[in-house]
Amino acid sequence: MVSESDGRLQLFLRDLVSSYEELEALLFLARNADRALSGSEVAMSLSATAESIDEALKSLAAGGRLLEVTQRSGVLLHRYAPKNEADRLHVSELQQAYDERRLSVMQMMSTNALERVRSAAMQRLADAFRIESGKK
Amino acid sequence: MMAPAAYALGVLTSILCAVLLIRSYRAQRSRLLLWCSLCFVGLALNNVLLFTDLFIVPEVDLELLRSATALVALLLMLVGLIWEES
Amino acid sequence: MNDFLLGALTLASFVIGVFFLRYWRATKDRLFLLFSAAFWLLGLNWTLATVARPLALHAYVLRFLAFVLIALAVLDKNRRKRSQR
Repeated sequence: MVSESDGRLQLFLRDLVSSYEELEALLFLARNADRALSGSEVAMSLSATAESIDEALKSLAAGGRLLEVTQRSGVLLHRYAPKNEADRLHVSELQQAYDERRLSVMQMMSTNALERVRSAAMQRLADAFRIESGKK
Repeated sequence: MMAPAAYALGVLTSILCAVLLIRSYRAQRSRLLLWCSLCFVGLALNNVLLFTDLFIVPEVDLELLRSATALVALLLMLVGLIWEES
Repeated sequence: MNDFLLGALTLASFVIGVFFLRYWRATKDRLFLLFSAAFWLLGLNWTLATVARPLALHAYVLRFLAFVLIALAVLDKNRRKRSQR
């Protein structure tokens, strides 16, 4: 059932988008690619809390591949600026998938979230064998 | 025929692993850690039994007990690994 | 009866080794690769103990190696921590 392009999209999501807020914020910024927006502006347009959107934007920016972050009078502004063409393509694929078959996008994100939890548990197991108690 | 020291390695290593895993489990409460802790406790026991069987009471055959402890240990790990898949 | 237990032990260690191999693929953490090999060695040890009883004493070499690998994995995990991550 999973097509090859869906597979690539799922990997893209797995690496760069880890919450629904991030997904919405990313797509919103991509649709308004010419504007640099603050967290509260994005939050207002998406009818979400400023905290959750700030968190989401920080996470998206941390990937270093999708957003350009500038500062003006103490406020962080975010602009959609993918560093490579593949990412740009993925985001437009994502937008299309989101518009046409939202459920499968949600399912991809759920699967990724599950895998993230599983990986975290595995890593905790490996880290358990560290003798010094200064953990994580 | 290998020296008792070689078997002692098995005992010490499994005890060390058991201790590290139990300590981590108590700190983080991850269920995967619990299952692995129990397994290594069982393996430690198995190693102690092996050492005992070979060097301390060679006239008594502890083979069945040894196999049983090892199997319980591994089954606990296996159940844990499979269960945590979901 | 013991042969039955040894058979079960062999299968269990093999499967556990497979799980750890998967964990290694997922996390790239060398510890899991070493553990996987260790459990497979244990499985081999138990196989020999059943299949070739006269070799049982030599099978203990495999068991020894398995725990050497586990000890190495723990040492490796602790050495790398200080320089990386």
